[in-house]
Amino acid sequence: MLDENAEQARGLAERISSGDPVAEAELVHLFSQRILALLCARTRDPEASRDLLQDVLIAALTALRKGQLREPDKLPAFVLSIARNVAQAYIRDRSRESHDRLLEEEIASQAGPDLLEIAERQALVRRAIERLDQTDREILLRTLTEGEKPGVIAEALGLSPEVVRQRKSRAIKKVADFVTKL
Amino acid sequence: MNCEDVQGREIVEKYITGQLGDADAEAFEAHYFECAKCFEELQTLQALSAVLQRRRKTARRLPAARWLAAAMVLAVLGATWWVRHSGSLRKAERAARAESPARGVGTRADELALLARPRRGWWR
Repeated sequence: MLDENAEQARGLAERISSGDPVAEAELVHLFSQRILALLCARTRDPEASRDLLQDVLIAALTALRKGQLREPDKLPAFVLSIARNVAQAYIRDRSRESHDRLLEEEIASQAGPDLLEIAERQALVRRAIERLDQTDREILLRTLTEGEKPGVIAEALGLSPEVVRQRKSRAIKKVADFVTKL
Repeated sequence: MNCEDVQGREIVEKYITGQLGDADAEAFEAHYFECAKCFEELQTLQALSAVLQRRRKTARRLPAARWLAAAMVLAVLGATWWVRHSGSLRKAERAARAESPARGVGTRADELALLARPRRGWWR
């Protein structure tokens, strides 16, 4: 994404530091889902991650407004490091700090469409799951929610680990294809 | 980390199930922040995981809901039986009271007669 657009990242960072509200909305649009994915993976708490997303965006925008990013073309790495820090802080101490309400509401309204997109994706995934074989569903369930290895699943389902691996890959591909085609 | 690493080592799956070491997790995060294809895969697997988790929770809640429903049915049946049974008990009690004057025992007249009878204390 931004690999090819280092110039775009630099421009975005500079526009935010000069107080351009459109640039702020662009940043929110560009990074919200990536940040949310990171927060969900690290905290394992989707509800809290939605709140933490606001914290990350507030911290990033506040720092950018103050011109604290020394190398503007490293904007993605900068946002990423803030997201990691927020996730780590949440894991370390689950108590939350109060923030600037006004900015929070402003960002929440900008981040809305991203959450809608996530809901739409989940609805598509639900439809894709319905089309899967019962065994494939069980394999995905055990892999993605229990974190079980193919060997363990194979033993439980009376299959070989290789078959489990193949069925898992095929099932994931089927779901991914279904989601991307629609 | 590049797209081939992500595919070949099932990085996305390990990342969302928390099975990736810190260094690999950080390398993957740095990669997907700039790679649309791997980010798309991450989003799909996260959605898949969320939907499956919800299904599992619902499936686990179902037996509990059945037990609760059974307990409620039993409670309603028990209450109905109690209401009917206590009603018939009251009826039987009323019927017994209505019959008692015929036997001449325990009536109000008997009680008054007992009260009107002169008492004899030990000093008399």
